[in-house]
Amino acid sequence: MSTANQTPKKLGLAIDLDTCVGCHACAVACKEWNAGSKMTNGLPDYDAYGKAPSGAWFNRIRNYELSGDPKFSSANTCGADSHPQGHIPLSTLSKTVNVPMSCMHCDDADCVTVCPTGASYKRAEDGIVLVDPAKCMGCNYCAWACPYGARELDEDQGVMKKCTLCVDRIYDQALPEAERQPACVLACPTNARHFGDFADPQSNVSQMVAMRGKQEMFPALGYNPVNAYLSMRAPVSAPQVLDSKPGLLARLAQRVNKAISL
Amino acid sequence: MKPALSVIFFTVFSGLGLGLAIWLVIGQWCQNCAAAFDPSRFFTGAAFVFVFVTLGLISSTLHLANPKNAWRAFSRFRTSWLSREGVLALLFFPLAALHIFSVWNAAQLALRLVTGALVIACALAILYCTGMIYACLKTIPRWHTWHTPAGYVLYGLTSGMLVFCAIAARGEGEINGWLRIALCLLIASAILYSLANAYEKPEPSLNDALGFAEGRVRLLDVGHTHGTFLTNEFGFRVARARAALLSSCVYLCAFIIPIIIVVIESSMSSQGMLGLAAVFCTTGFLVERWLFFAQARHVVMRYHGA
Amino acid sequence: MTTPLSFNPPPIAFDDRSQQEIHYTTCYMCACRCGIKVTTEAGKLRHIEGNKNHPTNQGVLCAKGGAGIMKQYSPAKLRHPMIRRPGTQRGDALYDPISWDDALSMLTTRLAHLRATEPRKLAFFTGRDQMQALTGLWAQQFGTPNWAAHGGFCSVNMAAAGLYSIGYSFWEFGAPDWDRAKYFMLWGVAEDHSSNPIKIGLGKLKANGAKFVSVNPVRTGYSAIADEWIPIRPGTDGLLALAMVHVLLDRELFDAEFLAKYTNAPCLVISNPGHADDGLFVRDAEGRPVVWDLNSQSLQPMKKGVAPALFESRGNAKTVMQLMAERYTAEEYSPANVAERCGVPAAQIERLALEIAHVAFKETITLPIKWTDSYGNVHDSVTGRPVAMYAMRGISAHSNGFQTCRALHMIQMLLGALDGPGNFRSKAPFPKPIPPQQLPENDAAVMDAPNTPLPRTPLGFPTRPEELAIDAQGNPLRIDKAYSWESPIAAHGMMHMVIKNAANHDPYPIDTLILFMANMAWNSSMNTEQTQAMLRAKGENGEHKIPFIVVADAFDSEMVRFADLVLPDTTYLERYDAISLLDRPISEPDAAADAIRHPIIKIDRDVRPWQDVLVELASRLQFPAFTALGGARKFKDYPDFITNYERAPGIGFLSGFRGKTGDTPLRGEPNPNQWQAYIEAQSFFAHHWPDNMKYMRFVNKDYLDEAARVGFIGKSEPIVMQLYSEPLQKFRLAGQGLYPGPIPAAQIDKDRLATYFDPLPIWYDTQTVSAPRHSADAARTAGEATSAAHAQTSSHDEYPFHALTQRPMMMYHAWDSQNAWLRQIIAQNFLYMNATKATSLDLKDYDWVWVESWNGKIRCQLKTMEGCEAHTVWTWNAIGKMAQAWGLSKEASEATHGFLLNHLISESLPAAQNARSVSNSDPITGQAAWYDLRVKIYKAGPGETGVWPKLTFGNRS
Ligand SMILES: Nc1nc2c(c(=O)[nH]1)N[C@H]1C(S)=C(S)[C@@H](COP(=O)(O)OP(=O)(O)OC[C@H]3O[C@@H](n4cnc5c(=O)[nH]c(N)nc54)[C@H](O)[C@@H]3O)O[C@H]1N2
Ligand SMILES: Nc1nc2c(c(=O)[nH]1)N[C@H]1C(S)=C(S)[C@@H](COP(=O)(O)OP(=O)(O)OC[C@H]3O[C@@H](n4cnc5c(=O)[nH]c(N)nc54)[C@H](O)[C@@H]3O)O[C@H]1N2
Ligand code: SF4
Ligand code: SF4
Ligand code: SF4
Ligand code: SF4
Ligand code: SF4
Ligand SMILES: [Mo]
Repeated sequence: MSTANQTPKKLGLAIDLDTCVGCHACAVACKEWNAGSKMTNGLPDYDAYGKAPSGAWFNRIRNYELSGDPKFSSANTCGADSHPQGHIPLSTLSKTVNVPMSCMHCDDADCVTVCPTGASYKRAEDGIVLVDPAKCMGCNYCAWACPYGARELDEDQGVMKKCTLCVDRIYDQALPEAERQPACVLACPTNARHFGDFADPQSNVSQMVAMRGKQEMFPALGYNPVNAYLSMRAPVSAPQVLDSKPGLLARLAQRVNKAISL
Repeated sequence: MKPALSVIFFTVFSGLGLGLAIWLVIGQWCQNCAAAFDPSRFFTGAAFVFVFVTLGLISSTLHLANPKNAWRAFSRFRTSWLSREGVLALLFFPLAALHIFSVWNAAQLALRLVTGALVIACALAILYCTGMIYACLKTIPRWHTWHTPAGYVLYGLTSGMLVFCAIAARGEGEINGWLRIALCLLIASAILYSLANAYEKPEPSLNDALGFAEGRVRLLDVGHTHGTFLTNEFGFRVARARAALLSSCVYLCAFIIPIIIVVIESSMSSQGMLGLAAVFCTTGFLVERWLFFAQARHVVMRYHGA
Repeated sequence: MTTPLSFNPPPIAFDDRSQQEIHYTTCYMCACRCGIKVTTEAGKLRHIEGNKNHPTNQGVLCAKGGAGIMKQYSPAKLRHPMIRRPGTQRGDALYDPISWDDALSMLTTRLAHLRATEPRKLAFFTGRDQMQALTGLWAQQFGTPNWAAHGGFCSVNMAAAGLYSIGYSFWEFGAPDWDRAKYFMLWGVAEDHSSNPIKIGLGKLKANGAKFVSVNPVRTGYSAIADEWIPIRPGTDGLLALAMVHVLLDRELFDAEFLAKYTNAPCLVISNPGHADDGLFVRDAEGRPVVWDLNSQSLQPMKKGVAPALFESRGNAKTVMQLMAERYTAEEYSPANVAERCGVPAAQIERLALEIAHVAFKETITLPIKWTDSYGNVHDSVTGRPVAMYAMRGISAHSNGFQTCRALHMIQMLLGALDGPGNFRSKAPFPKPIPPQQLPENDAAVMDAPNTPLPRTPLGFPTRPEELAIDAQGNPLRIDKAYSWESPIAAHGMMHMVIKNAANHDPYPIDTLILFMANMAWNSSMNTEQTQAMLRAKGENGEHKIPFIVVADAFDSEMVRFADLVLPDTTYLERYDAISLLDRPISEPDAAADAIRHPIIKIDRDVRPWQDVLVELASRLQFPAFTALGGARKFKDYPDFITNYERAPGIGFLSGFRGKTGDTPLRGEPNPNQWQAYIEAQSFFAHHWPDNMKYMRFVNKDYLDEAARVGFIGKSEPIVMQLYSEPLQKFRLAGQGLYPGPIPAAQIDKDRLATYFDPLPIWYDTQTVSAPRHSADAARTAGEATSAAHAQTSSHDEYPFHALTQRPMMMYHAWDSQNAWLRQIIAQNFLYMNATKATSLDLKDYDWVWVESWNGKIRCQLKTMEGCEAHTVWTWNAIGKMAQAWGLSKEASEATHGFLLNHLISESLPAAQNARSVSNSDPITGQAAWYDLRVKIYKAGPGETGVWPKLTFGNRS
């Protein structure tokens, strides 16, 4: 495994798997911003109103089910056990997990290493991985090198495109400071997406990772993604009232109404 | 992986061309060694090399979505195997021309040795680079092994050798020595192919893909109803039975039939069937190359539940 | 190899701001009504983002909102008015263009005739709009009672249960206190109208470490991130809730002070079986319900100085609290008794109750806010019981939803967890008196008076049988039969019955049906295929059963293709709209708020905002409210109407910037520059309540005084929450034949009133509502209901699955398949089934299956999942489309693979022996019972693939 690239800044996203409801807002916000962005120069749709609509997206949301993780197990069983037509054992409840995925702006971005034209590049100052459409020859090789499915070819223009980390927002001095954030982060209704500098241990995102822990995708491949997926928390459990006992009716005879005046 | 025909043709034919080039250089070096090579065949062979390598290169640009930028592919030779392959491929033509020129002018052996060695080195390097283009991808475990560059080099040498033999057979002299080398190459290729074919690199799981250590994850929904660039590019799956069938086809065409032909031809005087052996072998390698892509599974498909 | 770094990267290409303009308006990709900031470039849309300052979405934007750009490019946009081509049939979808002038004169002539002769022959029903204040006013001015919006098939159960219990409701009129809640229970919600607020809220709960429990048969979306997911068996939430009530009551885990002071728990209820006063409150001479005053040891109305006794029996009267204790602590409601029926283990039910009790009583929040109650007591602080709940259509779309929702409100009342910090808070203009003092028009003579507006609105909240909209014979006065014996409290009307009743001339024929923004020929109707047949149906005379259908829509929907006259609307970015406090408010608990839309994109086709069309028609028809003395029209157009119309002096559609100079909010003279003021204020107005008016508003004097001043309520007086609903009891007495007033004639109506109109929440099996007598004569109690349910196992066995739909977060009903981006996310829906269950039935992913209900069958494709209750199958709502509608090609997968469950759901239930068939609705509110659907499922035969039925436009007999 190669050693991680060190850029002075490592800009990226922290995505909270514990909070994401899988609403696709970030995916559409991304599509929307980039469809009109000068940096991305359009994001195509194919067969938009036809049989099999498709198109290029930089951020896609997938849903998974996780079962058998003791952290999320419970006594309840989806009702299958009690079905009269047979007892179907279901050990534990599974947990649905929504996973948004866009470019991770990897420290060790093989997508850049393999690119023959130099169209793919990783910015030394902040680690953002970008494609220069003016140089790309559309060989798809970088997409092959990406384990995370972050790159999609613009078939109309014949050039590779990918998440820009909204470089044309985060550095745009014409935007009010609060809006110098990726479109997907601003849109996310549950606040499951956070943008920041992972190289700075004091940053919002580094603090979150320190507090919550993260899980890395395909860690063994050694890409050292900058984006972090905040792990799912153990379910919050609430204490129960203990100092109570059943039998109200029996006690009613003795119960004295407390005078509470209006 | 989607088996793109242009890439399959490109790699097989340029591999063949480069292999042939290597044998032509060697053949022309040792015209009168253990095995003979009629120098008059050298230029026929060179013409073949030119056709195969050029065809291969042209077809390699066919899969580019934006070929007008193809020239830029030479710029990143320090990091990109694809770029290296391009640069070397470009270098190959002047080197080959130089060598041909030296042969044409019946230059000193020393000069022919130097120019020839350069051609051989360049051709081997190109074959190796082509292999490394695939082998360097950690995302495709089946490719990410030494088998891959070894295959590209060896299969190039082998198919090149058969063409070389076929050409040599049209000339004067005894070529059984070459046929013996061809036999060795065919057997070595067959062994490598069986190794590569049997090699099952452990594929990462969906749990690895998502980074879940505990429990078992399954896909619920991918978030798009129809295909995307990713599913088009990486979603191709070949059925096991079909792969097995095609794989036998590789054994038969690329190795068994050529071996039989070579063995038979070694004991005959006419040796007219060597061309057929080359055709079979090349066809076999085309199928091999198709399977090379079709059987490779990109890790990103894990996210899609595959 | 290390990745090469680029030290000299290409420059970043930023947007060219000099070419851009920024506008603020209100999103209308759904009914959530978020504030958006729209950037245009050369008159074209560049970017839509959330407005950070907007109270609803606080800057965030959902998937639909972001895709708003593509709506503007939709090929389905209607381009000009159209009239059905002579000689073609409805549904052939062949139209000729017609000019607006011709279309409007034609319609005016027709409507003028109806208005002058039989005004009831106009039925005007609306779907996904948020302008019911205007459409309702229009219908009232026309003089027809046959108006309603879509609430009857949507969530009236939630609205009505809230408004008959706590004075506000889960539906639209209240919201959890996301910032302070420590425990949150979500019942049957996939998305809700408050799409973004709920998501923002869930994010806050997570950040604050609150516990989030989701009760839902399916684990997707919100439920995915719940700390505890309860895969309940559909239709049994009432049992679960009442079992929690059992635990809370039995263990005395309730807020006695809250109950005694703010609810009718201490009111005395007469027990006199067989007599007209049975179950009614003991009242004083002035007719006020009385309580036993512990201070004076006498019967007193709830007034200052009285200390109401919670548990008390006086003669033949007992307090509500006493009745509750007796009923709910009984074994029938014990967790053990309901566990199997709900699919929730008894221990878990008990734990849930003990957890909410802990949070309510041991983690109480106290805010140092001084406030005064309606009785004149000054409090130094407010107390919050930080258990918040929210519920929607998983509860409401069942025929026991009203009572189930009341059971949820009962839990809230027991905990005292209402309108306080950390719990479920009200949104202005609510709370209102319980129920709101607005009665539906029910005078046949008034309805039939020519050219006369109705003195009352068509919709309201009846409190006793006299207030039903029925004639002297007991027949429904409304075309949808709302407020009839079959659905006495149909507070939102019953849109799902309109087409069927109109086609059957039952209770009477109508002439013209105007549908606005409702796709009634497809996803919004039950029994879709038959509904299309009803739209096509002709009588013996060759005339259509529904003679004239006008559809006002912006897009080429399925419904448009069944219209006789199509009036094309604009998109939401092309017109003025007022999102009014007189309607469904966008208020938040901390602020009363309303909003506007204004044109941002120039209209490029021959379309008109429907609001303008309504004002135009109203003027042409000379409705009094739209006509000046002397007959001249009062309002030039819709914006003019909004500016100048006053419902009462100083009260208009928009509450912001009122007064000549715009400085009297909420109530003030019309402001000629009001629109401009809104536009400058980013298209919304929020009146933030001072701290002393933020909580306990049902008895908060300062708030109630202000609410009365600005016209939210009639007068400032305490709003006493109703655990016990006397109005229900009056209807029940009518069912029992004891009511001294109107009484139903049909046995089935009597049975339904007697069975379901229990003044205290009950649970009943949803499969019994068409014949309460046969199956569950007294489904009153859970124990019996459970056995009744067992008696029903035959039907349960025949159709072993509950079939549900869920809202996909990135699609809005019919609207979004035309959206080039959203349909890339989902262009086909599947039927999801529990994976283990599927294996046991030899079914697997992507199998084509037949799904059959008593009403019909469909073929669709199956997918399996783990997070699904084993007796439940479900699909995403409204993805299936008819081929060629919505600007989609014939092969679009929405039409070839997508499907609707609606074919399986009938709008009427099979008639029980000797009984009339009743509508597939909650017997109390008439809420469409979409989720009562039961089905069986089996694998399709070889070669049987593709969706079935595949309806097409063109002639089908
Ligand atoms: N994105 C999007 N947002 C929308 C809409 C849309 O189409 N798309 N539609 C809008 C409209 S009109 C409405 S009415 C609202 C409705 O918003 P929701 O109330 O969220 O409506 P549904 O999607 O019907 O969700 C019902 C939920 O209840 C569950 N459920 C079904 N039966 C039961 C049951 O018996 N018990 C329990 N506990 N759960 C049950 C279902 O699994 C589902 O998750 O959404 C509005 N918001
Ligand atoms: N199986 C099943 N069916 C259901 C439900 C369910 O849960 N399951 N839910 C039901 C519920 S709760 C509801 S509310 C209904 C929703 O049903 P509807 O209220 O009928 O909503 P839509 O299907 O979105 O259709 C609304 C129409 O409004 C049109 N429209 C959109 N924008 C505009 C505009 O700006 N102007 C005009 N004039 N028209 C416009 C659209 O083109 C569309 O034809 O569906 C119901 N149907
Ligand atoms: S996620 Fe893929 S595209 Fe992005 S930097 Fe990593 S390897 Fe490259
Ligand atoms: S597609 Fe473009 S960016 Fe990707 S490797 Fe090829 S040239 Fe580089
Ligand atoms: S950072 Fe920008 S480009 Fe990247 S996923 Fe988010 S919105 Fe898309
Ligand atoms: S917007 Fe936020 S909640 Fe929605 S899918 Fe994206 S990350 Fe998840
Ligand atoms: S929830 Fe989404 S679609 Fe609905 S109004 Fe808000 S942003 Fe628009
Ligand atoms: Mo709805």
